[in-house]
Amino acid sequence: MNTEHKSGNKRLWLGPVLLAVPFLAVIIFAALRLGPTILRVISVLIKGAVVS
Amino acid sequence: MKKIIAWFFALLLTGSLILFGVCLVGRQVIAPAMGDEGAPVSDSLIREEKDLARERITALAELYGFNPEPVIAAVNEDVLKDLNSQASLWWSSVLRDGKAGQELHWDTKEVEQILMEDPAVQENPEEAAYFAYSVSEEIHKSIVNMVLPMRQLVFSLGLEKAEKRIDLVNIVEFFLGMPWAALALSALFAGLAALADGRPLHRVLRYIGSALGAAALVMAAIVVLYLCAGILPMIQEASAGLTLQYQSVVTGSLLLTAGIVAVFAAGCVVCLLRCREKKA
Repeated sequence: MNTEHKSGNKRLWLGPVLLAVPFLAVIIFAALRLGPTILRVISVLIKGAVVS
Repeated sequence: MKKIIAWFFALLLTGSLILFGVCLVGRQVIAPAMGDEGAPVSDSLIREEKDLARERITALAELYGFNPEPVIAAVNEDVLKDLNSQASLWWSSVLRDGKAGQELHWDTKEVEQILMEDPAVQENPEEAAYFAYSVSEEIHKSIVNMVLPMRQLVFSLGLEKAEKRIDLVNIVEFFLGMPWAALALSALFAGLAALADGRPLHRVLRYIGSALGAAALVMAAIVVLYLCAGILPMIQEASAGLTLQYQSVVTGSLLLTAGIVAVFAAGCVVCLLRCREKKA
């Protein structure tokens, strides 16, 4: 009974992690695939629009 | 089946909470510049700009051979505050009207006079007036570029081109309303999760708590990714003046993000602890 309770509590705290997984997967995938391109665009924009 | 639907709404709730957090931070960056008088400028930023102005004037003094101290004293905090409020209005004009504002200007007559009276310049009185005028223009350009380090002509042309394709003003207004729309959506999804599988009460606490915790985790991950992206070194390389302004904005944004993450995490802990109590 006690063991069941403990595993139930553990599962309770797994909820946030499991809900975050799809969002984290999308963000990490986007960062890996599009990150370098986005950073290059930002770099070009900064060089083009900013004066020292 | 009920549980699957409730978890689906919890997933949507997570998404809308993340949208709320991200848009709220974006709103806090944009909203101050939307006022009639532009964004207020902090005293610490003015102090840092004063140090930077000192460096720039000293470099110009070494190049042209004049005494930098009286010029540094003339470019005082009032001048910098006035230039910053002009820069703020410039941004305000970009965001509110979709057009670049008026170019920044400050009266350099005092600097010109100081340069005319400089002993090194007095050695060659015939060229003193021309020298004072051209060097004061150079100082004007350097200080204006420090306060608003944007190629204003490029911005103006870019905005004109963009105006034909996108309605920037409406996009900005839409973005400013986004946090509240996302918050309303969050309330809707929380209600739908409760309707789907909200009895006994501890179940709905579990869905809402999990969504809050997930949103906190994702927002923390976004901050980590942003910090790893290395945008600051790019800006540091481009302009020292922009670096100061960027750091001031980013510090505020990161503090707000940390606050949102803390509120979400606290909400998650409270909901899940209450859920555990009720379950027991």
